[in-house]
Amino acid sequence: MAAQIQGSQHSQRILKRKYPVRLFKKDDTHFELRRKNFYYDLIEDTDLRKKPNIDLILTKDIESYGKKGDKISLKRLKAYNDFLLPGLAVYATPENIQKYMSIVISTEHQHSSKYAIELLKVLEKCCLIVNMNIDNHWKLEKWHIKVNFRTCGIYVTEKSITMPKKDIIGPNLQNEGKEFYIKVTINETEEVKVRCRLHHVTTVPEHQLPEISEFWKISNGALFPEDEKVLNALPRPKWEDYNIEKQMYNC
Amino acid sequence: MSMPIEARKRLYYLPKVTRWTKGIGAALPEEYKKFWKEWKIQMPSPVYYIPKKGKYERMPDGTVKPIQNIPIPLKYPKELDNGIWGGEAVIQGFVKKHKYHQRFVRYWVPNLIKSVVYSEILNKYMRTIVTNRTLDLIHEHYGFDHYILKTPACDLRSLLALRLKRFMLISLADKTLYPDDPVKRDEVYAKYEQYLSSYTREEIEWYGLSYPEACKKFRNNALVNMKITPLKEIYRQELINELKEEKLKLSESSEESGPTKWISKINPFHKYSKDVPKS
Repeated sequence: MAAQIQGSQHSQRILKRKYPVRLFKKDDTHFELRRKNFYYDLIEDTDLRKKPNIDLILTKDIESYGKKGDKISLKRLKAYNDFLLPGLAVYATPENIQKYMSIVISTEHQHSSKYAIELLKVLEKCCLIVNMNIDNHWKLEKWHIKVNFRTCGIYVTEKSITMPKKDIIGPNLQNEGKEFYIKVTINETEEVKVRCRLHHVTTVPEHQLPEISEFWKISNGALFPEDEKVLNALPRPKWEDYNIEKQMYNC
Repeated sequence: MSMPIEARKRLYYLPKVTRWTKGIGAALPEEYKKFWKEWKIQMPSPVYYIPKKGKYERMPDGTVKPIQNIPIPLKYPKELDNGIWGGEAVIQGFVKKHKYHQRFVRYWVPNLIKSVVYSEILNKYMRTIVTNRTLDLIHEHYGFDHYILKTPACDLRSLLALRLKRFMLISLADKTLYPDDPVKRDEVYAKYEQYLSSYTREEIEWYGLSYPEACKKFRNNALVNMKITPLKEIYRQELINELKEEKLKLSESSEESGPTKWISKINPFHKYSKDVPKS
């Protein structure tokens, strides 16, 4: 009876015979495999095994990864495709460590951490929507900013926030959609200016503002006229650039 | 008295005719035969099974049995020669779910990836087909060149990998790597010099060739070494030799025969000794 083909498995596996082969005797010239010996049991699929990271030494300065001579550890495919093949890094063998040990890392323009540069870029382009209450009286404080940052997924301490010099008091619907800026210090070294935009909210349905689609994209100018220069100098968010381009093409 | 079994077997023993006992295969050099043994006859390292350690093991019922690690038979498709699979190959076997179920044939095929490898000695990026195991082995050996040069032919298996190994060894032996950059050349040569010690120059020439390639190389070498002289020259030389011999014979015969024979013996200026009386 001919056996049917069930399909092939595409991964490296470790197998074991269901029925072991007859023992090899002294006079035998070769072992005989019978049909019974071709039934296999699967022990493990090695492609599903979790593999350790690879240690590398950088041969060039790479942003958000480190300086030349730094030792980093990365996932296998990322390390092979993006670092080892282009020649940006070498394996951390004992010889390579000795070779790159002699390189003195320059202290100029050194950031507090290798992730600080990425965070700087994110914060520069960010436009923080500050949600404030319509009904109750308030004065903008540090913890308001901290909470609004947290909704974006960025965790900021109150110590690292510096507020604008003038007080902002509300509720005032004339200030809806107006912009101002605050300063955030990362690890007490790098300072970034972050664009903020006021927005009034409430849980009472009658007091809610009329619904505007994508209100966060609409800016009503600067809150303080003296800040306008600084705000114009800051890079705009990505979607705003896209909007402007779209308008230009429509014209 | 009966003969021992081995001697009886020996009596009717006729050696099998193989490609190595007859024809061009028998004439191939020892260097190629050494490579062939490393490639085809040497046992490859286990990939699909975990070998047991030790000589004997005790079974659950108390009996002791010897341990024999019999490898799982592998199939080598022709596509294997175009990639570097790192010892992996195709397994054919059966799967049976239940005692009363029909058995099914199942093929276990390695997961193939399109990727790039970089050789430092050849200074080249090559687009090839690899497996996850190949990439792991490259990481384990700290580089593609170390992996290719260190592993024996039976584990590399594919013709592509063996050909690359030959090119690497040739460029190391002749020092033809990095022709424009002498500093880099010395650095890379010092790194991989250790692998040259296990091969002679002649062995490197014959390393990594398939059987047809080796036969072709042997024939070409024989043609180069063979000196063909035209028949015209051979016959001319024969004729000249013959003529020379004839001349000699003629001169000899002229000396031997005729009246000149006894006259030539007489020397009128010969001094006779005083003791002999004059005739």
